[in-house]
Amino acid sequence: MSAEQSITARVARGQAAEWLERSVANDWGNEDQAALDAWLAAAPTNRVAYLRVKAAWNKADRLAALKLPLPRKAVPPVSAGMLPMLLRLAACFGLLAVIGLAALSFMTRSQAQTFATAIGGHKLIQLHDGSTIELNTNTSIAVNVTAGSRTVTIAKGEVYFQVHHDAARPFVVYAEGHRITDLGTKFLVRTHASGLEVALISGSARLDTPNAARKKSVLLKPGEVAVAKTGGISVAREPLGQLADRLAWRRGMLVFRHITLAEAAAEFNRYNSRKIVISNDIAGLKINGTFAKGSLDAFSRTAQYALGLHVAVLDSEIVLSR
Amino acid sequence: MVEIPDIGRHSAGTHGAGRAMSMSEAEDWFVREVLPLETQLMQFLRRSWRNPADIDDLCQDIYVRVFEAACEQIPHPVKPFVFATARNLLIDRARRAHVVRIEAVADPDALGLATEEPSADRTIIAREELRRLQVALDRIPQAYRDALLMKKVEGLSRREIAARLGISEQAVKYHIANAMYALADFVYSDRADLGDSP
Repeated sequence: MSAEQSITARVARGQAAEWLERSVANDWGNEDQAALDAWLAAAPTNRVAYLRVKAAWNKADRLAALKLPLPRKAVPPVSAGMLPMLLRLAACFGLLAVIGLAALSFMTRSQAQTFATAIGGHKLIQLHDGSTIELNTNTSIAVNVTAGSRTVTIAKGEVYFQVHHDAARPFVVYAEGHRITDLGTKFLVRTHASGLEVALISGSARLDTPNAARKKSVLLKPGEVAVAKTGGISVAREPLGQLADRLAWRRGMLVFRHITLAEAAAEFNRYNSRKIVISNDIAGLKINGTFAKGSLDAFSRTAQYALGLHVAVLDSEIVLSR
Repeated sequence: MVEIPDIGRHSAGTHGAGRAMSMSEAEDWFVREVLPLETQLMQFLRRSWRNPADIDDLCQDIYVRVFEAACEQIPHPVKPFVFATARNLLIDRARRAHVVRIEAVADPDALGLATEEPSADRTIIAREELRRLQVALDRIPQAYRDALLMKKVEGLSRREIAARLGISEQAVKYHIANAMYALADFVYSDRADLGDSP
């Protein structure tokens, strides 16, 4: 039936792990996929080894939603920054009960906890119910979790929510006077000077803007992006690929598709204290590209070589001009 | 975080014997039905084969045979087929190697391994898997574990992980690949050999 393997299990499995690591790294492209496909096709032992390591890796998704077995009465947000790591490790070491009790005694008077990121920051907060809250650059929120409710108030910035739906404990987000109610969902919320933007990735959520003159409430479906202003809500649809681009910051990346240089610079400037300044005559040039959010260098080099611009690097800013 | 097909679900309906399988169906089936048998399969191999150094290769070769058979038609029931394949492979090898504990090879049923048993409650399986993950993480060397969690849970890039851990991106690559390798062994075999990994 099958030829016996001359490739040892260790080699096949080792290579499979290396391929998997590459496939989840940020720079995976079509050529990489083709190379992987060729490797898989080269020997059945490769395919089997890859299936195995990939399946184990998929199972580890549960780590990302590790539910700590706390009593349900007071369910505080766990942590921010390095703390989730400690807690997860604690979980691994079987220290759950101890930490659970400690958290409980702290939380008998339930109160809001605030979390914030600096410019260029990125923070993941994990709730006991398996929900995650991810803060992008220059963001500030307050989280209040009680037995009967979960509320998050966004003071500023951009936040990605992956909510573990619980009809008995609604998950509600407040921002700029608008209200978003989770109905089992993943969504992105960003505050702008001009209004609030809500992009629904999966599930559904309701957006209410009580003070609006008209169109006060809308039920969002996946792929929809709503902008809420004092005047009311407008909803547009976006292809899922484009929505994924909006979430590239979670991987530390910025993805620009046919936007103006001025828009790209504004986006970069959210993440860096050294600001990119664009002269007016080139602000409307259209660009495409994927950049690490902190790599001003790569961005200005691209501008320099691809667009033929002049780049002046100053202490606090980078000036692009013709 | 990472786009990997959902492999946790059960295929719709019963998989009757003789149904032709596409490659991806065979892959799903393999992950869902065969990999969970690895702990028992490894037990069987350890009892039946003298040289422990061969066990991983034997397991992998059994997988290849089972997977290739599944690409033709799906074996049903699964467990007796996997253990019959194991037995045949051991006998083939024994003929060449002239060393084998024939009694075990001849009768996997005696070990209570080759029969279909009522499947455990899904929640028990899930809890067991979570326990294994926790134990696995506990045993993976700290540097690997940190890199793995940063990748898996926080979705950081190689560069960001390198910066946080103060190591090179190349090292991050190996840390994560090694962690993945060990994770697979723990999840499916309840053990791992980190050694001088890949």
